[in-house]
Amino acid sequence: MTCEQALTLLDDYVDGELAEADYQELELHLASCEACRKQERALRGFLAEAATLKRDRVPARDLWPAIEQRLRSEKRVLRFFRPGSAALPAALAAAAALIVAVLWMRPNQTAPGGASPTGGTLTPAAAGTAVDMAQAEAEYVRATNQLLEVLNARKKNMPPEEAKSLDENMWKIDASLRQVREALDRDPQNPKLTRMLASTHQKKLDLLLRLIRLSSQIS
Amino acid sequence: MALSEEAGAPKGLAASPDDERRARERQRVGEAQAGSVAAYEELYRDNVGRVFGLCLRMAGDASLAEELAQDVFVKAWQKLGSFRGESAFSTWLYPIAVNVTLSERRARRRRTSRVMATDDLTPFDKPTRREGPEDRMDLQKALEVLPDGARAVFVLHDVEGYKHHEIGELIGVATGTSKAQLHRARKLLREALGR
Repeated sequence: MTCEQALTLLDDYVDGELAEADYQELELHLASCEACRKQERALRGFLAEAATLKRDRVPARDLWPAIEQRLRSEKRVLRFFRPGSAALPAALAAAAALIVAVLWMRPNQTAPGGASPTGGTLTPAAAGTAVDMAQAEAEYVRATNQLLEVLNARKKNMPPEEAKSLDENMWKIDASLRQVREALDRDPQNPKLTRMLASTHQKKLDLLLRLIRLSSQIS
Repeated sequence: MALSEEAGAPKGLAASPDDERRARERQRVGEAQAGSVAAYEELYRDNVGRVFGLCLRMAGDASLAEELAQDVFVKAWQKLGSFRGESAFSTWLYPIAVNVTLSERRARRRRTSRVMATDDLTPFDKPTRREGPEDRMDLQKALEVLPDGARAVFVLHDVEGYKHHEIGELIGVATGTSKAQLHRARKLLREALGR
């Protein structure tokens, strides 16, 4: 074995990762070569020093206040989405039922069979014709924005193809919503368009919920 | 692992300081998992030195390391539900810290137009060699100017004690690549320090 070959194997040798045959050969070489023994000692000394770098370091400023602020900010939103939390289904079901019911129960409209399209029972407020459509949609926007905020925070943990697919699906649904809304503005009494708007709102909520559950499994 | 580490001190014997520390940590973890930010602060205080130390060695910049350490504790809070208490909290926390620092490194490399490939072996300025106790600072400084990939592998293997296959899983490279990076890092550092 030449010195050049020996020095190439030195890292694995000191790490104890050398194959038996190479190990024996290198041992023989080191026994007879002072220069390579010196290199071996120097490497071991260097590694011993490197190991002493593993020590605690205190940051120059207390990092906790900034961390705490971020935790509390997340907690406000995320408490709805912790596994097992009843708040998420309740809050979203309420928002979804309100929106969909209002859309179905607009003046001169009657929900088929007198029941909510979501399968639940219509509340008096939702079934009443006095319910303000703008207020219902504002509630919907608030709910979906909360969901989007959570989802966007988790997107960085999603596989890139999942995140891309999420963006594409959301873009498609938003485009559909815009189209239906424009059509409804032109023909406000069209029951088919009204149902389509309700259905598209529901699809967006369903998609967001599905993706949030998926992202909680990923992260 | 010793029985006392698995199940606490046997009946009739006083708990060791280690047992007490673990019991306290388990309690704090449970409280934090239930949403207690105050309990999580205690876990932070117990572990920030180690996490910040790793971030500093990996990032080579104190300001960046502070940001990274914050990210680590926020990320750990988000994932706290997945901690089952089968290991010490610090053992669970450490890979999160490694991943956060490596993710930032990857993101930074994507952002910068200058390519700093993991096999970048560009020579770097030799820090001034000093004798005596200041030598350790020389090694820290030399580490800071090491190419990112080589520094990451060196820190994980030679400082933190990870095995090559573990580094390969963390960084997403083959074991052979990790070994090659380590060899290069050691060579560059020893040359820079004149050892």
